[in-house]
Order: sequence, then C-alpha cells, then structure tokens
Amino acid sequence: MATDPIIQIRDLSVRYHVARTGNRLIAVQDVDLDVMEGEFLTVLGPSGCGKTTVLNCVAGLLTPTTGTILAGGRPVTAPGPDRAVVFQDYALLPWRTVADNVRFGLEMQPRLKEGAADRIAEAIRLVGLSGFENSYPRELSGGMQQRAGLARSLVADPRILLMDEPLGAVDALTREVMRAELKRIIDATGKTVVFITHSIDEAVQLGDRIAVFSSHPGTIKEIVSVTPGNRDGLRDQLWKSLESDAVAAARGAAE
Amino acid sequence: MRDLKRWAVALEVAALFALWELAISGLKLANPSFVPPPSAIWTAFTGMLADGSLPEHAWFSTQNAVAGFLLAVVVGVPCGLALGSSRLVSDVAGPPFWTAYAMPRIAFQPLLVLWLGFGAAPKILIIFLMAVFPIAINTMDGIRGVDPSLVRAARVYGAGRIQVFLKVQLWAALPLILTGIRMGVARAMVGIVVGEFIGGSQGLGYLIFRRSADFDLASALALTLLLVVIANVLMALVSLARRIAAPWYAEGVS
Amino acid sequence: MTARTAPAKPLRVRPSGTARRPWKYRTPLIALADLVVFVALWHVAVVELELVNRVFFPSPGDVAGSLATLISSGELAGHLGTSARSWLIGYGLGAAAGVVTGLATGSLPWANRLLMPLLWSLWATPLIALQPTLTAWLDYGDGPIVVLVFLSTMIPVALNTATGAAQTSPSLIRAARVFGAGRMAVYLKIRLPWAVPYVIGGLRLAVPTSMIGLLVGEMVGSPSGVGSIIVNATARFRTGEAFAAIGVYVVLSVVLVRLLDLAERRAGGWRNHA
Ligand SMILES: Nc1ncnc2c1ncn2[C@@H]1O[C@H](COP(=O)(O)OP(=O)(O)OP(=O)(O)O)[C@@H](O)[C@H]1O
Ligand SMILES: [Mg+2]
Repeated sequence: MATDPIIQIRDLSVRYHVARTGNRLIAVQDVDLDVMEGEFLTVLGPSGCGKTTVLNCVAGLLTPTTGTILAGGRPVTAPGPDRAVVFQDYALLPWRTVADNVRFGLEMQPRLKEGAADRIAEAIRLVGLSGFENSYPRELSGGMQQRAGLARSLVADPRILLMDEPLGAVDALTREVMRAELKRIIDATGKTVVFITHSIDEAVQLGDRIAVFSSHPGTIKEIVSVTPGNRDGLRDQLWKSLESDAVAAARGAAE
Repeated sequence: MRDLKRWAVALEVAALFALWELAISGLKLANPSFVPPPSAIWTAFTGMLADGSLPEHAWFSTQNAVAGFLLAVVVGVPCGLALGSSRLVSDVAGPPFWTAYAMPRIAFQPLLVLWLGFGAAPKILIIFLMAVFPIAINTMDGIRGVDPSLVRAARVYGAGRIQVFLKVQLWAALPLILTGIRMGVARAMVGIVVGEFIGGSQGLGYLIFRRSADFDLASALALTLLLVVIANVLMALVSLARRIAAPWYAEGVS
Repeated sequence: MTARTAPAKPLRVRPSGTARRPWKYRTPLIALADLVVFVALWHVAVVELELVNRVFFPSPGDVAGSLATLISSGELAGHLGTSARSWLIGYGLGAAAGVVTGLATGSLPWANRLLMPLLWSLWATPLIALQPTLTAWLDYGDGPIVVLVFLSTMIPVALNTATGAAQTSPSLIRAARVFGAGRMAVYLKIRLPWAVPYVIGGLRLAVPTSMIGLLVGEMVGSPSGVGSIIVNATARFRTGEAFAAIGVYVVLSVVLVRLLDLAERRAGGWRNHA
C-alpha cells in the first residue's frame, strides 16, 4: 500500500479573468486536499463554488493561479494517461460510434496499440453496452451515452477517474440504476475516484469520504468520512451544513 | 410520407404550368410572343438543343463554373479554417475579409473584363469571388462553434493541438463546411450569369441576354428555367453529399 | 440554467495569474492598421513601383480625386438618388411581401407544404437571370431594377420569416389559447414577436442579394444609377471613377449590414438566453 496520497492538492487558488466584463473572479481559494489510492472521494457543494474548477486543475485542463497539484507524486502540468475524466455532458464525438468513441480513449497512446480491440470490447462489456458498439451517440439514451463516456475513461486503465456530475444530466430513475452500476464498476476496477455531485444521497451512498465545499470564496469547508453506521446521521448533518449555502446560491440565482 | 410530399410539389409545379398555359394559349390573357406559354418555351428549348446552340453555350458555362467553384473550395476552406482557429489571423485578416464579404463583388465585373479581357478568365474569377465567401465563412463558423467540451475531452485523452484539430475540430465543422459549399453553389450560379451578362460572348447567361434582346422571350425563359433546374439539382446533390459524409448530423433548417 | 455568471458565449479562459486584460481597442485598431497598410501598399505598388498601368488600375489618390469630382459635379448625387429610390422601393415592398408570405407560409400547414419548396428552390436560383426578360417586358429604366430588387429581397425574408413562424414554440401557442387568445391574437402576440429576430435575419440576408439585383439591373440595362457609373467609366478607361463608385457601394453595403446586425442583436437578445 502506498503511504503517500495519490492526489495531493496544496494551497490551490484559481482566479478567472472574465473576458466579457473584464473582471476577475476568485473561483477557488486555498484548497488543500489529499486523496488516497483506491479511495472514492465525493465532492459536494453549492452551485458555482468551484468544484469543476478544482477537478479541471487535477485533470490538467486548467493551470492554477497559485498552488501545486501532485498526481502519483508528479506535478500536474497537463492532462496525462494516469487521469481520465467523465464529463457531465458526456462529450462524446457525435461522428463516431460507441466503439470508436471508446477507442478515442486509447488512440493517443501508442503504447496501448496492441490488444486495443480487446480492451475496447472489455470496457464496453464492463459498462453494459454490449450490442451497441456500432450505434451513434444520438441513437442512445442519456444513461447509455454516459456509459459510453465511462467506457472511454476506463479503456486505457487510468489510475484516477475524475467525474464531474456524471449523472447530472440523466433522469431520476436512470440515475438510481446508474449509481448502483457505477459502484459495481468502480469496485471491480479498484480505481481512485473523485466524484462531483449535487446530491447528498449520491455523495453518501458512493463515497468513502466527502469533501464539502462552500462558496465565496470556493474552498473546502469540511471533510467527513463515511462509515456504514453513520450514513443516515451524515445526511442530516450535510443537509444542515449545505442549507444556508444553497439558499444563498438560490437567492443569487434569483437576482 | 416524404415521397408523398415530393409528389405534391411536382403536382403543384405541373398545375402552375398548366394554369400558365391556359391563361396564355386558352384565355389569351397576354400576347404569347410577349409572355410565352410553357408550350412555346418547350419548343424553344428543344429547338436550341437541336441546332446545337444550347449544348455549346452550356459547355462554356460549365467549364468556367467548375474551374471557379473548385478554386473557391480549395481557397475558401483553408481560409475559413485559419480564420476560425487562430485569433491572430482573424484579427489581422478579419477586417478586410469582412469588408470584401459585405461588398457587392459583382460591381467589379466591368473592371475584371477590362483587366482580363473577354475570355473565360474574368468569368472564372467572378464565380470564384461569389462562391468563396460563403464557403470560408461557414467553415470559420464551424470551427468556432465546436463544442469546447469535446476539445477538453480530447485533451484529457492525450490529444495535442494538431490531433485536436484533426480528430475533433475538422469533423465537428464538416457539416457546416458542406452547408457553406451548398451556399457557394447558389452564389456561383449568380457569378456565372453576371460574368456572361457583362462582357460575355458565350455561355448560358450570354444566350439569355442575346435572345431577349432579339425578343425571343420563349428561348430566354427556357434558359432561365433551365438555370432554375440546374441550381436545384446541384443543391440537392450537395445536400446528399452532406447526408452521406456527415450522417450523424441531424439536419436543421438551412 | 444555474446562477453562475454563465457566459453566453464560450469564453477564452485564462487563469489570471498570467493573463493580461485584453485591450479594448485591439480589434478596431488592427482594422485601422489594416486599412492604412492596404492603402499604403496600393499606393506604392501603383505610383512608386508602377507595377500596373495606371490607366487600368488607379492609385488611391486617383480614386479620391475622381470621387471628389463626382461629388462636386453633382453627378454622384444624381445617380445615387436614382439608385437609392429603386433600392428603397424594391427592398421595402419586397420586405413587406416577404413578411406576409413568410408568416402565412410558416403558420398555415397547407401553405407551408405548397410554398416552402418553391421558396427554397427560388432561393437556390440566380434570379438575376430574369433581368433581360424583365427588360423586354418593362422596357429600359427603373422598372426591371425595382422588380429585381423586390424579388431578391422577398425570397430570403419570406424564407426566414416562415422558418421563424413555423418554429414558434407550440407550448407558447397553447398557453396563449389557454389565456383566451383568438387566432388573430396568437398571430400578433406570439407568432409575430417570435418571428421578429428571424425577419431581421432575413432582412440582413437580403442586403447583399438585393444589392446584387440592383447592381445587375444598373450595370446591364440602365443609363442611370451608381452601377451605370461603373460601366460607363470603365468603358472610357476612367477606372478611378469606377473605383470611386464601387467604393460608394462598399460603404453602403457595409453600413446596411452593420445596422441590421445591430438590430438583430437587439431584437434577438432573448434568444440567446435559452
Ligand atoms: N471559464 C470561466 N470563466 C470565468 N469564470 C468562470 C469560468 N468557469 C467558471 N467560472 C466561475 O468560477 C466559479 C466556479 O465555477 P465552477 O464551474 O468551478 O463551479 P461548480 O462548483 O462546478 O458549479 P456547478 O455545481 O454549478 O457545476 C463560478 O463562479 C463560475 O462562474
Ligand atoms: Mg461544475
């Protein structure tokens, strides 16, 4: 067992420069976070508190204004094969079939040329999309599209999975089913996961630990561990902790 | 269902022609040499086919159209790609590009004739100038409209700038590029006609001009209708190409 | 949508550690620099290097001189008046006819089925091919020009308006019915406002097409109008004058498109927030 965390975030701050208004916006301030190998960390927080921003920094899509991020002990400067991302809007290439979309996860890594077909078939089977290899994304339901996105992220066998509200855009029923599926798939692969969600239920059900964000400025408010015994108590505690922030955010929305 | 609609349109066009025929030949609402009925137009058409004037002039127009249009695609698509993907290019080349786009380029036709003579060159050039802008602009819009989330996904899975361009942006822009090419076809048709109206001595446009100057309006209208048919066939072909090349693209209204 | 300061358009994201504020005057200044460089190069090529024969290709100074003469002699004003009258009549009538046709085509199913394919096929065809026939029918002068402008305005406006009217959200129409709107009220309060941005889009599309109609009419079969200046000046090797006349057209087109762009952005504002 590795003793060092697989993801280490230190003093992370990100400021956006909003080109349209010319203003600067502090999206994230002073975030410290460690994620252990094999851990399922859920991230909970009100809208606009900077969850996506933090995730994009870990993914290497965004350069932090200040602070450092280590993944597997190495500083993150760009996206890498050790980290895969599942997007809320799936981000599947509409001109590729499911199988070709999944292949996209391998394509840019020459070392995985060999046995690509097997890997792809395996990933598709794992997410339960067998039989839809030749379908185009628009021919699939939202839940199935997200399965394809998941297969794409798993196919190159990354150590870390970053998921940004992966179930945010599917309907409630599919969501329940997919939650259980996700749990099964992640357990089967033993990956380290950072999982953003808006749903307290989801956070409690899936996570080993929960990082709770607060906004203005976006930072981590608390980190709680989930044990089989404390799930129900946690729900209430989290709800209380988020309520004021959520109300404030909703008010902000109304303005 | 689609077939039914197509038949309905054919029937409608047939009905319009029948009414027209009836109004002129039957009810004598207008002088048939002044407003020729469809039957006279058809006779004029077959006459021009038989005496070889139509094939000869059509061949001239076709050669120019193909040359000008291919040139427009070869130049327009790369220009659109560059304008759409580089801020620097769009800042520096954008203003003259937009000015050239906004101005009525056919105004240059008399000058083009002065510079290049009465041959094919000014015709090809005006066809090119008419067609190149819609192609370039749609290509540019296509590149700019690429869903940023797809680009992010590509980067996550290890694509560099060039790969993002080849594997994501180009494909995402393809339907719009083809839309631009379709609009380019329509504009190129205008170019053909203008090029032959002004300083022309051959071609379908010239023939229309000549025949109506001789008050052979049946021939002029026959040729005009022929242009309508050609334009629609060409547009349909490009749409078909788009359906084949970009089957994932659910066609909107355009 | 959520309450974030969600940008309507994809923003260029730069975390601000490295970012500098993009300079507000960057774009217009580059455009101005473009213009200066362009005119300077043109001048050098024609006057200093004599790359082309100045009779065939005037220098910027020649063009400016010709323009000044055209203006001071009152020639330009006269021709411009003729052009403007033809264009305004044709464009105005064409726009009105286009809106009415478009609204009907977009909202009546049978009209949609009958007219839409015809409109599309007319949009695809070079209507200016009618010019010689129109001249035969209406004689030389403003008649054929106004008709050409009319046709080349009406088609795009009708097409765009029909598209907008046909896409009116059915739930909005249902809502209006629920609140007691009759047929007429549905038109005036729902379909028309819904179609307004599309109408403006059509009007904008019609600027270049109507200009083409106007120019072809004036260049091919008319003794007056700015287009006729181009033809006559070129025939007499007065290329400076031809350039000046083209310049007038360029400015007019650019200004018109800009105005309609602005109007489109105003009227279409609500569309972007969906
Ligand atoms: N590209 C950008 N340009 C400018 N500001 C941005 C940009 N992206 C995000 N922001 C701002 O940064 C803050 C954090 O955004 P972020 O997307 O990280 O929030 P989030 O927690 O993921 O929200 P949500 O739960 O709604 O997805 C928000 O206030 C947002 O408006
Ligand atoms: Mg987010």
